Amino acid sequence: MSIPGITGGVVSDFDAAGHTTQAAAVLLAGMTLAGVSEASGASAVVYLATSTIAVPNLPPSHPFNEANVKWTEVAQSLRDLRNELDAAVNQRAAVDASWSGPGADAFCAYANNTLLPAIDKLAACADEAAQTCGAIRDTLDLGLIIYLATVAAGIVLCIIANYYNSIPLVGAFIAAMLKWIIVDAWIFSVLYTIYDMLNTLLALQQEQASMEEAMRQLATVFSTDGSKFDAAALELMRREVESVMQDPSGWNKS
Amino acid sequence: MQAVRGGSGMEVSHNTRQLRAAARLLIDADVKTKVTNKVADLHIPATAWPLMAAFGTASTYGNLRETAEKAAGGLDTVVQALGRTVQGIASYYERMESQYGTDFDSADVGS
Repeated sequence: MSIPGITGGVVSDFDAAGHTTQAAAVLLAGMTLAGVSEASGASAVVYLATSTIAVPNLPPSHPFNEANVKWTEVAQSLRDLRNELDAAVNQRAAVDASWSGPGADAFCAYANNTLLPAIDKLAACADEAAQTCGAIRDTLDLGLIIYLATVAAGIVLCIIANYYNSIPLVGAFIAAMLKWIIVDAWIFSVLYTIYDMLNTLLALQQEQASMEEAMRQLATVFSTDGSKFDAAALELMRREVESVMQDPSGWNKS
Repeated sequence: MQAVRGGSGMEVSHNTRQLRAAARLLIDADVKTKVTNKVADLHIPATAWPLMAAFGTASTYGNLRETAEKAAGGLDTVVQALGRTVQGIASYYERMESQYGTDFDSADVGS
């Protein structure tokens, strides 16, 4: 059962549970840092940064990995079909070499000029979608790794800072100041990580442009006027040559 | 003209066998299972990518997926219909070759 807007497609109920688990893990990591940053008073800032910046911007990457794998499979299925059809139509001992006449010519012309290019363009769309999903997956994975690494570094540094507490009179003050510096540096690194992810995703505008171009190319072969996509256009073009193809006198052995 | 046994066991010419193989390839292509159904399952809800939704990537992806699904559906219809037409021609030649021999050629009819 899918929840509209939340699950469905490559995001199953199990994936949604994984999303919650990852959000909890990101929050737990931040809370651990908040805990060791005390008694500096910085824990509230850590909590705020974790819950409002890190958790919403670090979703799991596995739906994009699944989409990447499946789009790649779709592209491969289309390429396999294209190669098999090309072999059946054009290679030695195939239809083009074995038959002549208007019926055979109409079949070969339709296959070569309409059907094979349509399959090519559809495979190109699948490739672009796979690349986009793969790039998003890599960006999310890297963002999570950097976040967890900076939290771990912050925890270790805060624990080390605790040793300053043993210095009489000023020790607690020094430890608190160091922890504020550590927390500030950590918040800066989290903000930079999210900023870097945003920049990477903005670079995906190139992928977006490639997807749009692939769709435009698809429209040129799935269209009767060369611009507007029409899924029925291929069938319309097939029907136009069908009467010629169906006439047995148009198929003569070469 | 070399005669071979076709899939039905009936002796057919090499050409007719190639035509029948092409028809079988088209009919068995199963674009629906291998492509259309898979593309239909590749929807990604907006909650999975909050950052990307802001830059239009999510909507472009959604448009691409829907277009690819429709294109695959159209391709499936065409490939099936084309296969049936080619199969009709192959069946015609099988019938003619069973009556007149594997050298039968429509080019000779009426000449």
